[in-house]
Amino acid sequence: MTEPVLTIKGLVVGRRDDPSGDPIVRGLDLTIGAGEIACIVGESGSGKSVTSFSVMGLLPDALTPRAGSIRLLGEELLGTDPEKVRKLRGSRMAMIFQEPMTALNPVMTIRAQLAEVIEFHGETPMSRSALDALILATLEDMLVRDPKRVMNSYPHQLSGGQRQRVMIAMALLLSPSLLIADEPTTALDVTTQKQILGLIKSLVERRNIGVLFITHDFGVVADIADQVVVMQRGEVVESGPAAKVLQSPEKAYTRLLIDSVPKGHASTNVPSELAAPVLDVRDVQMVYGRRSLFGAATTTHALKGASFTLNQGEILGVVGESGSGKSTLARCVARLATPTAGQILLMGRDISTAGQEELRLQRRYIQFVFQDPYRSLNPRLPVGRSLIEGAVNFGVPAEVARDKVRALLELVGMDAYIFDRLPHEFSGGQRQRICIARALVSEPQILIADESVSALDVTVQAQVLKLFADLRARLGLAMLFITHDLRVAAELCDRIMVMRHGEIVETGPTAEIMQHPQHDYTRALFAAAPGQERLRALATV
Amino acid sequence: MSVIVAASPTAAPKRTRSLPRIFRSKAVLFGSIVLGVLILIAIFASVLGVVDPAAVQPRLRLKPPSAAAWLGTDHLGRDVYSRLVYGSRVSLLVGGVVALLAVVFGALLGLISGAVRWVDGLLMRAMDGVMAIPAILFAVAMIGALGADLVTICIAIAIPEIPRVARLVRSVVLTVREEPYIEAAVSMGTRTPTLIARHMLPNVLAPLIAQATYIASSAILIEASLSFLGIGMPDEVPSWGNMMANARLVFQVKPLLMLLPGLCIVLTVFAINRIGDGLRDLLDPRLAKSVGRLK
Repeated sequence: MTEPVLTIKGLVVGRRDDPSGDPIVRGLDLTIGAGEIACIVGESGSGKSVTSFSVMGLLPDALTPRAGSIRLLGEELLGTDPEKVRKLRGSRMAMIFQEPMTALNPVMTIRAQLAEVIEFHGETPMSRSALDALILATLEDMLVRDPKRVMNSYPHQLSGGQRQRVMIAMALLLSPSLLIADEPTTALDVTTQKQILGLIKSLVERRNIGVLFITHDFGVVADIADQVVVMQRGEVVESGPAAKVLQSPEKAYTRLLIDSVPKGHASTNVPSELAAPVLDVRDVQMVYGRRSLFGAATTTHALKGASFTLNQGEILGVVGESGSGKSTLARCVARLATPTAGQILLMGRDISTAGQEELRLQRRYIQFVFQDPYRSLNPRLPVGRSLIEGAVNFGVPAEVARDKVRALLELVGMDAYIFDRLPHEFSGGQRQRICIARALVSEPQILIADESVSALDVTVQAQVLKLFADLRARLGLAMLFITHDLRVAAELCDRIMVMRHGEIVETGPTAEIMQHPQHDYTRALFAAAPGQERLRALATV
Repeated sequence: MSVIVAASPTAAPKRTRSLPRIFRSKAVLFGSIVLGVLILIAIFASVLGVVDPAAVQPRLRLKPPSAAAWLGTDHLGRDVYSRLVYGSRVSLLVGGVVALLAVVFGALLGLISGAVRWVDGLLMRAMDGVMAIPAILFAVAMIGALGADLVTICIAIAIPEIPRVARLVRSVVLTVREEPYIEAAVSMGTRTPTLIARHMLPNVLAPLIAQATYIASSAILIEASLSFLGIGMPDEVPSWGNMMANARLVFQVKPLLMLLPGLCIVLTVFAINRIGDGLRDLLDPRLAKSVGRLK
């Protein structure tokens, strides 16, 4: 039998300054052979990233491995001279990260950055032409279109997918045996994610490398993994061959994670045609212009004439990839941005050109839940004060507002005694609940949720989606639900609107869009969702 | 859910601990002690100063230190020790008042400039204009026109500092303005003044405090320079600056008359700068963020 690429046995990682405290990772076992992809799945705080950093020898100073062994091609890494491990990085093992933009140096060309890797880690110096040939060949191997142009580009001139390909090229330049991928597709659009996952799969076959793949998404696992390790709070919940874990998970937590992946079952709600439209958007356009003092004006059409209506009690999903104009649309509707042209009728009243004070009074009817729950609460303000702010602004006495907020907190599943806490004391899911409660304080007619669940862990995401559906049923809210994930939209929304390049390409009831997508782009979006066939097949068994 | 909430009651003591934490920095501790002593000296100058600092005694000119005049006398026979003690008042007052003026007006202009778009261009160009005039020249011109008294001097030194504060505050506001919680507050119907005071100002305070200390120390130096040039505080009000100016004539025979007030200025400015450095390090959000940011 050949030597496995990576063997981890009984790995325990803990804090350096607290030797007796609870470890961050306790007792992880994992063996990856050549040509194999192992996925570590878990939510934030599960210790999956710490595990990958331990292998790379890149643990932050505060953490230290306490027990166990990590062997790379039979060679022990723990306790080895850091300089030796440094040499192994790049040549024997390499890592790619979530955000390819920040991992690349913005002021160096791709060629220079790739050449640097060889300069630092390569064994023999290479001539310039040999270097270029190697870089070009590696980029070609990553299926980069037009590798010559990419080689001489700067990172900002490339798309997200191309950047991630470059990152993988950089990692594989010296033909390492082990590739560690830490959520490499999380920041990418679904269609790009599909391509990158395909690339990693084909590289494993062609180059016979082992891959340690960190992810939170069981959909991705279903697509690529040979074996799976499920982690929760530093502990291994379950591990085994992917097919077995996916088909018959032994532990409830694994089941929960798999079930939390939105399957894209169409929501059963039938939108009632009778309900009055609360929002009527007519041909709204948004043009970002740059008038420079010298030279011609440059303009970007972020929104090229969007029209739709939103009825009372209806959830309308707006789906599209980054740059499709879906967030611009949401910001225009909420008048956080002023549209260049068009009308926005909020309960019959046009707010697209409303003056400041008139607009301020109309704002209570239309509320916003933002993507990032960590940045949408003022970090210096106790949550209670953030929560009552809206009501107080619209003339409700503070005492009354406080009672109202308590009731709302209960509605969103939070305890009412959290008033004096600061935002950093809450988890992401809790903060998003607080943000939702805040949006409900002014008794809005319309709630706009802009990617409100995409920053959350899958299980939390499922809870928040349920909360949205619940709120609609109880309060009769109309919602504009903006997401890049068609699966999520399909579960929650009555109607779906697909956007691309600032235009609405298709609108229709969810079931219809799912079963008979008219536009090619909608079909591509569906096809790109990770793990669809496999997970759906499992669900129906 | 409730389990998690109940398990994190740790932050309440954190907030009360943040004040003493400042003094854990040795720089801040040292600076604060020195500055504290200097402020006490300035307040109790009338008790600590043995004689009237303005009393001229022509017979006792340029006397060496003795029991009557602890640090000797100057070229008009005035007591050097008493003048040093009283001189601390002018320096500290100028430093404090200028810092306060510059910070208050600079922050106000910066907040407005950052938060209200249409005035931004106008205000910032005006600030650029003020910055184009050298600080000392501006002070010389203003004092020349209005005469030298404490109020005029403070205003004359403070005005050139205002644009620097305004720019700093504006840059912070411009960053903070993009934060979703500001937009959340806007969509919550918050009026602009409330928005500025409640959501933007707290973010600005930390860099402002650090900036204020630098302004204070530079104001002390400028005041000393003005006095040295002979357009600062009138001669009968002792200041470290005009003491040095007077001592210039007799420097070769009595170097101490020049060195003592100089030393006082150095010590004061050094102490204030240490506090500023310490505060800046403590309040730098980049340092604060590097702690505990692992998934």
